[in-house]
Amino acid sequence: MSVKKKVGKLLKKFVTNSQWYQREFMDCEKFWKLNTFSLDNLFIGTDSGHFGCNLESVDGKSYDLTLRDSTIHQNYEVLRNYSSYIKEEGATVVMIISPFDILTGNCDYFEDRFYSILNMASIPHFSYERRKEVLSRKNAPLAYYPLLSLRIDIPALFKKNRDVSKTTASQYISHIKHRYSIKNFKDKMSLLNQDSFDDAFLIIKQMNDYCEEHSARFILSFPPASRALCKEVNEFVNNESFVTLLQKLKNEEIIVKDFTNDARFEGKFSSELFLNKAGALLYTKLLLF
Amino acid sequence: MSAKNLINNLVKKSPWYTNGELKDCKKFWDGINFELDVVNLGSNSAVFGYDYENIDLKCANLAMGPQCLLMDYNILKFYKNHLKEGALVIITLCPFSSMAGYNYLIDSKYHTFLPKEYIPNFSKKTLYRINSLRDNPLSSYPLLQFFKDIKRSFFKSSKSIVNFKDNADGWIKSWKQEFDILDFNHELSVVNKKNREDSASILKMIIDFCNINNFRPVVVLPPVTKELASCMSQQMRKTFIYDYLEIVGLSDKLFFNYLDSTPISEDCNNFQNAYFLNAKGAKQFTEILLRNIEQEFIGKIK
Repeated sequence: MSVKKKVGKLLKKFVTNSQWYQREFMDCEKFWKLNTFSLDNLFIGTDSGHFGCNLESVDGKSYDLTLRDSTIHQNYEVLRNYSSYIKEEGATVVMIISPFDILTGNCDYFEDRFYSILNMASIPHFSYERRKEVLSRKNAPLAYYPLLSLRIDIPALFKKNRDVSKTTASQYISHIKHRYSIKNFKDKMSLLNQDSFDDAFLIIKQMNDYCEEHSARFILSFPPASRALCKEVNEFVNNESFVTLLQKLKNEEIIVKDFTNDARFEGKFSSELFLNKAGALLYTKLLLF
Repeated sequence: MSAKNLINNLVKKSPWYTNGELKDCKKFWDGINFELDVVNLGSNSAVFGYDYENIDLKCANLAMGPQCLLMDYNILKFYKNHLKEGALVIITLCPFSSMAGYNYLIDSKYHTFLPKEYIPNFSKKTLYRINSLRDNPLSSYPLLQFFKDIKRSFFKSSKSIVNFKDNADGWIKSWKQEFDILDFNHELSVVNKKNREDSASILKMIIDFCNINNFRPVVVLPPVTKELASCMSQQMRKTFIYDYLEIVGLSDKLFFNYLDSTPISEDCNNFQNAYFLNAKGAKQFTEILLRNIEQEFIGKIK
């Protein structure tokens, strides 16, 4: 191997490990690497799922396809695109979402990273030109790597990378309130948010039906809420719209495992929002039980 | 002015910025004139195809590259107050405009100047991203581009000579790839048939919009080099252009076809590559087109 090639390879490795690349294609690498067929358990979900599931002590073949910062619709498309990897009979599909993620129900925006993991028919407003651009960014990231990212990535070379969320509970709650224009979680939801609840119900029902067609078991789960988040989550979960949604899910006989107020997870949090390793191990065990 | 603004202004001069994602947006940010006599819509071929410098009328080039007919419609709708009553609207087609239906690419760039009602795939996330790219390009300015720009500022790059024959083959190949076409003589696929119908309905919408608002629409196919024109067989033109215009129900009087057999396409000095006109060709073409429109169709434009 010539020196030029070696340097190129090193640079590419540096860029693909950079924060910029990891943000552009957040959590996509495990999708590209997935090569295990006939899975027993498949985990999908959002941030809560990413921090909430730990597959170390799970029996059978399992894979974690959770995506941070994703919506319910995106998770449905992930399930549809990757259902060929689950085994033919008796697999389990677990979706872990935080109760607030229900509000993403009517969001049909798919970020660029989905071009690298989903089939084109799954992406709303798909465009061929965009796909070409995104795939070239994925395969030749060096040409797109921003100059200013060096400022963050060179010091990061000498630090140990820890997968812990730095967001505090109050930041998270104010973000949710701002994003969905909510003043108070106890109040009646706005029409737009009620729409999200209805859409979320339809998507979850579709997921359940889809799993039934593939002879798999579908589990929807809400992870434990930390003490800092407890008050708001409880207000939201007891909201009229949310209660109606749960009732509707129950009528459709969809398995919902709600751990939001589980006392067993006391002190098993790595941040104000998400579980730590011990918590994740326990949670995964309880989920599949 | 802070140091950051100063560097940002330098970055905004780099070809990465001017020809990148925000290409052709500047004219919309600077504002479009009022009381216009002539506007043209269209994609890349229209961006390079018109030059109104020598024309004694108030004109505006509203084309962006790339742009589908749906966004032509939205742009026209948004800027309709800038047009005079009876203004001439030149709808510029590309040879494959018929393949761009409702699902064709709608770039993020529109977020920077159109309100959200005019953007079918509007999203707050895109708006945030594109505005930060527009105002603070430094934060996504690529490392390699930095070296390229420095090199460019010291050494003038020599202009490469385009081989029109190879370039024409390249265009045809990329169109075939883009629209999943194996052979132009085959029948259209189901998807492409649907796209053709979609596109026809959009073109119809533009023409109806012009008629309702008392504008005068014409549909134009700008000239291409004879190398590229020779790659487009009669069968291809029938499927992608004539049949398409038949679905639209466009009268022949409104359609101006310059695809070949014009003095412009004979001279290769009028083109920058096999498909796009250069500044000289654009001036000639605009004069010829406006003269023909006046003679054959509507009389005096003003």
